Amino acid sequence: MNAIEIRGVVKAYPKFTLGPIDLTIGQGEFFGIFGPPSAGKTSVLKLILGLLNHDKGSVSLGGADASGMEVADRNIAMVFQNLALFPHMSGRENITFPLTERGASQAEIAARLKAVSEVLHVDHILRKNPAQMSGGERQRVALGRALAADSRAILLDEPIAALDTRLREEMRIELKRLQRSNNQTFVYVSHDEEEVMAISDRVAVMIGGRIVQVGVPDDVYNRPNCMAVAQLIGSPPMNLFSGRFSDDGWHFECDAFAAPFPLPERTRPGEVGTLGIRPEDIHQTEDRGALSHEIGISSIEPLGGYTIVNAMLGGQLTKIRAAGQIVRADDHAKRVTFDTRRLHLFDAEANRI
Amino acid sequence: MTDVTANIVSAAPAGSTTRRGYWSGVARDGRKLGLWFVAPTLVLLLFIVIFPMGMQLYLSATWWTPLDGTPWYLAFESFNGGENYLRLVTDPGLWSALWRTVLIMAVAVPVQFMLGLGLAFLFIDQFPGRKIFYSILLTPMMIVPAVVGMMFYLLFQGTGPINNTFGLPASFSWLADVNRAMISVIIADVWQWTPLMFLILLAGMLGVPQDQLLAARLLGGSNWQNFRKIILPRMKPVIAIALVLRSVECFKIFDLIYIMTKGGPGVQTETISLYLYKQTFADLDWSYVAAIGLTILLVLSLAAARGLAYNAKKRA
Repeated sequence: MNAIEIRGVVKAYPKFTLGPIDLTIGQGEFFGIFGPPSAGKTSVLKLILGLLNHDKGSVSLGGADASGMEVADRNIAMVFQNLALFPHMSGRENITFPLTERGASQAEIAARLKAVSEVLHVDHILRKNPAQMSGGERQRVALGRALAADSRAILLDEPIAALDTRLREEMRIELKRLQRSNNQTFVYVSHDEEEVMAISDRVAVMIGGRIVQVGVPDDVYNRPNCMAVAQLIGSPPMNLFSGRFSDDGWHFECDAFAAPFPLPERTRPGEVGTLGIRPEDIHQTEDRGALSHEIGISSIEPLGGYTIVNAMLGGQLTKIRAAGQIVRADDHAKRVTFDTRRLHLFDAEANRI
Repeated sequence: MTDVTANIVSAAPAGSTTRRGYWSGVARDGRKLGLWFVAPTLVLLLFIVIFPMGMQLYLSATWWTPLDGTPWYLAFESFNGGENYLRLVTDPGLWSALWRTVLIMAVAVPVQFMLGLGLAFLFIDQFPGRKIFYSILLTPMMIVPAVVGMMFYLLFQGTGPINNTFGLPASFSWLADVNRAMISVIIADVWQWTPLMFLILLAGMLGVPQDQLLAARLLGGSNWQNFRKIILPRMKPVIAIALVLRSVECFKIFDLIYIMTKGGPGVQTETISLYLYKQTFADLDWSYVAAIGLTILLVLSLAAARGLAYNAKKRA
């Protein structure tokens, strides 16, 4: 059974149109929604929460149409970016809030609190007020409150964006663990591509109010279905060379390359297109053959485990991700080859070929 | 001498700078300069606050009245110690005026509070025409109290709109009736000052972050529960301020009543400020008036400070 199902939902704003949105989120799935700011991510959450009156389409929760359901009856919890803890209540009161609101018995509240505080390790902060807690502790209490509600799904709107990097990585692992151990449905929204890719079972990429691609992170990364997704996912972003496919379809011709680039299979003879290659799929070479390109290195960024090389390839700035630490520009070869198995080809409409 | 001090201060290890150290040297000169900058305000304050209060205190300890012909600074000739204060304790006119003031306060302020709270609750969410209704609601507060008094004076006439609307005979009088006069006055005060309550309370309600309200709503709270558990607890300081403000203002209510009833019929609507006014201009008993004024000021200040101290403690 699907926890959340959105069918053809459209919502027109004065300057922005959301949708049509089609989305199916399975029970127990960790579903990521990724997109640049103002792509409509929050609107999708509002749609699920019932805070958005959509113009067309339908939303169903657990197989039942949700159009008549009150916000409170949808049984969906949310963790907000600023957490929205109740500052005048202790950690315990915050966590048990959904239970007391629903008139649960004392025994039930105690049992639930115990279960939640065990998975979250929050025993020691139950007496504290949010103001006395650290960022990570507040995070846990906010999660605890969502978990205690025992809801159909938990929506997380950039829940860890406010934490520092180290804590963010810890919470990421923690979130995944919690989601797995409770078999909860999580809908996780973030504009941090790395975060979403690392944590989600499936990812939806949103651009300009539409869902452009849905798939497992591997799919989205290795087979982006359009140029926009290819540019959004991956850091540093994919290198793109615009040009045209040769008349026989076996080469890609681009001003940046000294010679036409051979393609592994015959593609769109004579059409205009774009060739994309990820920074890590460009390799150093000593070979001076037709498959290699000469580069002029403009700067290097040694990042420890790998190095980002900024180089000019036929007049176009190209990012190369080289393994290991390269400290001097001279240590990198002056010629590179593209991994032909990992080319991304896009047609004139920027769709994947 | 100054140099020596400055040396000592600069020789002190970093981080141990005391407040005194901070103000020495250049900074101390700055403070002197600052004193000159605020001097005009201080002089102004001296004349409009401290001097009148001192004079009031001085007169309240004498029998002085403008009828004597003695200049006020010679009032000490009729020095009587605390006799004016003894008199006010046993003055039945003062006590009944005080009682009526408290009655207005005890009825009007809770009514204004409940109405203001209810209205503010309605205005939390957006609805079509919210801005217009908001402006309309705030209008009474902006009308001069004397004008409000005149309005209600006319409304409550025997042949006025209110009697007409409810089909009451012209002989059914409001302002001249022993009981209804007070009700009329309270209605007028509620009409004028509910908007202020509304304004303060709405500001307090909107101060609660929307995310918290939404979170509470998602977690299954009804509107009323959320209001009680999330909004109200956070509004305590604002509520305290609103109540203290309106309560103190009840002691100052004057123009409204003066225009509507002149404190009548008899003394039925005579509040403390009307009583003071009558003592001042009818009886010219100025030293006694000074004593009453000072006493009220003292009592109200203490009460207000207590009300607001609760706030300060809560926040700490």
